[in-house]
Parts: sequence; structure tokens; C-alpha cells
Amino acid sequence: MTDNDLTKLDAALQKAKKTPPPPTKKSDAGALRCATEMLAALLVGVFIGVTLDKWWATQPLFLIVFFFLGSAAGFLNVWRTLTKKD
Amino acid sequence: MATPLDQFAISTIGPVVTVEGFPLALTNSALAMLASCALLMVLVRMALRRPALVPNHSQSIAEQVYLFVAQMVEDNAGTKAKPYFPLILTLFMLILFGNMLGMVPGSFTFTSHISVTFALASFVFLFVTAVGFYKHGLRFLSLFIPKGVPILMLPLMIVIELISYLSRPISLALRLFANMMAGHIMLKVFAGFVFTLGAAGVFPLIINVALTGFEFLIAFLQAYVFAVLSCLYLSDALNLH
Repeated sequence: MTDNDLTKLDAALQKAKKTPPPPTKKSDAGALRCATEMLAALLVGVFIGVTLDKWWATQPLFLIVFFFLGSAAGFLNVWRTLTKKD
Repeated sequence: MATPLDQFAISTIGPVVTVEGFPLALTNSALAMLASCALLMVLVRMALRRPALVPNHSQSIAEQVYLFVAQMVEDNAGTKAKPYFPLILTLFMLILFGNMLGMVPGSFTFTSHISVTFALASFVFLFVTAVGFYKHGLRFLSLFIPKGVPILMLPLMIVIELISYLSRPISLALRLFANMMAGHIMLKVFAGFVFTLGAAGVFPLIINVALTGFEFLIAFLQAYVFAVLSCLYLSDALNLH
């Protein structure tokens, strides 16, 4: 190994150190996680809607209202899951 | 005919005692829980029987697990969460042992039942909410008021935030239960193919070997995810924005 090889290696090392490491892949931010977040919020929304309808005998008014509120909460959950900066 | 779902059947062990018309008995699920608790306690006791400054193998493993969870709590919930570290460690180890004992052929996986995972998740949810109210009083309710929202939109956003908050235990329970159940069904289905395909059954056999390894990964990962999410929820309750 000559001095020239070593300087080349050194230059390559310096260059490698300067480039930032590739972003690490999130371990559990996959499709299944988003699906459960979405589903859970929808379940809560529909449950609240059905319960309120039963109390006030207003079928299906609150079911419809809370279905949409639940899906909005589901999107909020998915958004928070995916934009978390860890 | 045996189906892939037979492994989840609950059966009673020993006598059934009826209390006020409500039958009480030891089930295979409860037995699996007791077994994982007992194994956990015995293993940790054995590991720390003769604590030394330079640890032997088993003591080293116990210390690594302790440090791993301590680091996880600090990373995800901050130093304020230190007092709750024992709870997170207990939850993590119980779920981990439950998942891992479920990988023993013929054993019962108690985390594959939503009643169990939902009970665990509800406990975390109620505990975190109680901690939030205890630490901040009614100011904890400001968690439901997102920042920078026009007054006109506020009633709508509060309801959405409330639903999002209430969905936490359900998504926590659903994730653990769905992962464990789906994985164990898949193992049984491919095991069934091994026999029905005759000589070609060697291919599903190879897949099953890979799936078993994958299931071990899932068993660890889901216990980890449950503990991390508990830390994050705790962090929300401790560090109000």
C-alpha cells in the first residue's frame, strides 16, 4: 500500500463522514398501525352515535354525525402517527 | 376436524365455583397468565440471587432489560416519568412473557384475546388519565384544545380531539390482539398445508420455519410497541403543552 492509496482512502473517508446517514426506517409506522388507529377512532365515533341515538330515540341522526366525527378523529390519529418525529 | 381457530378456545381447568349466579373458574388463559407471572418472578429472582459488581450471564441479562426499559421511558416520556418506570417495566415484561410463552407449541397465547389486551389497555388509559388530572387538575382538559384553532372551529375540534383520545385504548388493544392472533392463525394454516399437500408439503414447511422466526420478532415488537405507546400517553399527561 502506497502513500497515494492512503490519501485516497482518507479523502473517501472524509467524504463519507460528511454525507448524512440515510434516515432510519420507522419500525412500526406501517399500514397495520395506521389501520388500527383509523378503525379505533371510527369504532368510538359509531359507539357514541349509537348510544346517543338510543338515549334520545333519534336514529340515525347521531350515528351519521359521529361517524363523520369519528373518521375525522381517525385521520387525525393517522396524521399524528405518521408525522411523529422519532 | 381441527381448525386453525381451535388454539384460541377457552376451557376451564378444575372446579367451577358459582358466586351469586356468576361462574368462576381457572381457565387455560388465566393459567397462561399465572405461568408467565411465575416464570418472570422466578427468572428475575434467580438472576439476582448473588448480585455481583461484575455480573454473571443471567444477572447481565436482567440488568440489560432494566436499562433497556429505563432508556425507553426516558426517551419517550422524559425524566418526569421516572416514578412510573416500574409500571412500564411490569407491563412490558408481562406482555413479552405472554407472547413468548405463546410460541411454545401447544401452549396458550393469552395476548391473542381482545378481552385481555383491552383490559390491559383500559388500565393504562385510566391510569394515565388519573395521573393527568392528579398532576394538573382541571388544566389537564387543555389537552383537548388544539393550538392555533379559530374560535368558530373550536367546538368541532374539541369533539374530534375527545374521540381521538378515547380511541387510544382501543387502538392499543386492537394492535396487540390483531398481531398475535393473525400470526398464530397463519402458523396453523401453513402447518395444515404441510399435510394436505403431500410431497409438495415441504414448501409450506420451509415457509413455516421462516414464519416462526418472524413470529418471535412480532412477539417482541408488539410488547415493545405497547410499552412505548404507554410511555407516549404518559408523556402527554405529564408534560402538558
